[in-house]
Formats: sequence, C-alpha cells, structure tokens
Amino acid sequence: MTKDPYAALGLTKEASADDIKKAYRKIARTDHPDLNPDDPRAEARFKAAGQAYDLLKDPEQRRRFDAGEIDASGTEQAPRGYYRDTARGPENPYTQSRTSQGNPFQGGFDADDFFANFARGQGAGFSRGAPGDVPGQDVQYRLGVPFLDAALGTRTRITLPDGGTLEVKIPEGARDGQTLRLRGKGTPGHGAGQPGDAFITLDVIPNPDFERDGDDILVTLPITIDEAILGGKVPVRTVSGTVKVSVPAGASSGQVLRLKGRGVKGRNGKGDQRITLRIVSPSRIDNALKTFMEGWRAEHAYDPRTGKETK
Amino acid sequence: MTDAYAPDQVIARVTSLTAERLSHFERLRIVTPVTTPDGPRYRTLDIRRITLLCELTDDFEVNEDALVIIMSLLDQLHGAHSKLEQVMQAIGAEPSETKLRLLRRLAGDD
Repeated sequence: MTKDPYAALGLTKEASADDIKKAYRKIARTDHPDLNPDDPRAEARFKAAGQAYDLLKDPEQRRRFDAGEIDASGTEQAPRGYYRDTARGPENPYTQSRTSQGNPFQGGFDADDFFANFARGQGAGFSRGAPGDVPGQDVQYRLGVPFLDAALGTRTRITLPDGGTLEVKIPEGARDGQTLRLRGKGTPGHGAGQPGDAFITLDVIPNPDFERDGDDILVTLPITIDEAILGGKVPVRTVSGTVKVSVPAGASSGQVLRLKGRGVKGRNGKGDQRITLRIVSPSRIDNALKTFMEGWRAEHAYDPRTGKETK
Repeated sequence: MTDAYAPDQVIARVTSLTAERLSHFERLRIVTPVTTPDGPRYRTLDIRRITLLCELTDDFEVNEDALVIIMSLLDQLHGAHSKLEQVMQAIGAEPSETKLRLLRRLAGDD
C-alpha cells in the first residue's frame, strides 16, 4: 500500500473533498479492473486509489490521518475478487446468449458457415424483416437442478419475475453449466418480429452419494471385512435405483468395480458406474475376532507394503 | 453448486447492497440468480458482479440505462474472449503445419 494516500490520487494535502472525489473517479474510471479486463497494472492503480479514497473520503478519518493519529494502512482490506476473475469461464451464465446464438461450438454445423459467421457473432437464420418488425430479446435464466434430476432428466418449471411460469425439460444426462435454449420463450417481438429465445443455464446441485466424471457416475461403497475376504453380492445405489454388485473375494480398499451402462446418458451412449470399495472395520472388535486375527497372523503374516518405503 | 448464497447472505457480504437494490438489478435483468427448490441462490460470480454493479452505481453515478449497456458490453467482451480462448485451444491441438498455415493467413501473406 502506498504510504501517502494523496500521492495515490495524484493530489497534495491541500486538496479539497471535491478534488479527492474527482481524482478517485478519474482513476477508477480508467483503471477499474472490471473495465480493464486485460490490464494487470490497472488493478494495482485502482487498489491504491481505492484505499486512499476510502481513507480520505470521510472527513473525520482524513483529519485523523492528517494529524498522524492513524496511518494509511489502517484501511488495508482483505484481497477482494473481481468479477473479471470469474467472468471468463465458458460456463459464465451471463455470457451465454450475448456473444452468439447459443453455443456455436456444439455439433451439427456447417463448417464454412460457422467460420464465416463466427466473427460477426451471428448464427445462421438471422433475417431482416420490414422496418417496424423488431425481433424480441433473448432472456437468460438460471436453474438449479438436483443431481439425480440432471442424471435422469425431468420436467420442471421456472417462476418468472412477472409471476408467469416457464416449462423446462431437463434432458437426461444434463451437465452442470449446460445451457438449454427455448425458442420463442424470450420477450415478444414487435410487428412481424420473431420473439426472442430463453436461455436457461443449468446449475447442478451436488448429491452427497454420487459424483460425476463425464458420463460415468462415481460412488464409494463401504464393505465389511468378511465381504472383502469372502466376496459376495452387495447392494449399491445407482442413479436409477439399488442393484447388487459382485464384490470379488479378496477385495481391497480403493479397488474400483465397474457397472456397465449404469452411468448417465451421453453422446456415446450410457456411461458406467464406477464403485470404489472401502473396507470398514466393525465398530466394536469383539474377542472372537481379535483371537482369530492373532492366531491367523502368527501363521499367515503378509506385507502389503512390499516395495514401498515404510517406517 | 458448492458456493451458493441466499439473498440475505449476499446482502450481508456486499456492503452497499440492499434488498431493494438487489431486486432492482434483477428487474433490469443484469443479475440472474439460480432458481432452486430452496429459493434464489447466488454464486461467487454473482457476488462479484453485484459488487461491480454497486461500484458503478455509487462511485461512478452510472444511471440505470448506462448500467445495462455497460453490463451488456462487458458480457459480450467476456463471452467473446472465452470463445476466442476455446478457438485458440482447438487450434493449439492441430498439427503444426495447420498452425503455421493459420499464422501465415493471419499475418496476411496468403
């Protein structure tokens, strides 16, 4: 932080309150990081000016600083995040319909048209009507979808700010950040103008039991010691209900079993469910188990750490 | 959706934000919360966007119309950048003779 807040604003101690405000706004106007997304130095200048302004805009604080009662770092703040830091991701819902008609990178386009139209940010099908025919605006919505609803597909509705509702079909296998386009569900056009479209960005709400990796579903399956040693059929939850999975005899923690076709629907058919086994000891070790293990160890000790450095 | 904030939490986090102001931004369609079964939710991205909106309103005295225009331009800029990034990555994955040809074309000597 600059020691002299006046210098950060390009002023001297004699500056009036109005000068301070004007100086701050001038710097902020040119250097606000969100208005200069590509200039890293803008942030430093903006920060220094912002801290100086925070200190000097309040007459009492300014008096105390001038009198030497507080120093300039009295206003040091925790680092803030700027919008630009998060705004560049392809999943930014606010940029979905603004740059082009939907996602131009989604399949099924003519390559020549695509490259010709890309720079202009116009999809195919843009047509000019008579004067007075004004197309409606595109409208953006965001919808939180529970994990299982996204995996299996469902129908739901969004309540609009004006009190109406919008029916939305969540496709099977919907992804976090995916944008659905509802043609004609934006604002109405004028004259013969087409209505705009509604763009709905999906926000998948995580589920404590399931994780998703592409089209595969990942779960952890706790098993008992005897199930691990002897193997057997163990019930496991999938997105489409509980099934039994064969745990092989001699299974270990971390071993991954695969249930073919129990994942979510993707472009290349259904994914799998990958099950990571986790051996869980009984909550109470009784004498029978303890005695058995002691006897067994005396005769059959084994070292799973062979080749690994242990202390 | 790991970072999800209820309206109250957002108002508590952004100093100069009030409930009226938040709903005003939403009526202007420059803030769009996520509709969830538990009510509207905001993410870190939204909180930063709202912070910027408050700064533009308070520090720059930007009026409502200009605010909508600024955000639309900013969204277009970020969107175009993000697409350009994707294009660059796609080109980066191409064989080097393709990249070379594209570079020559961009330099204008085709």
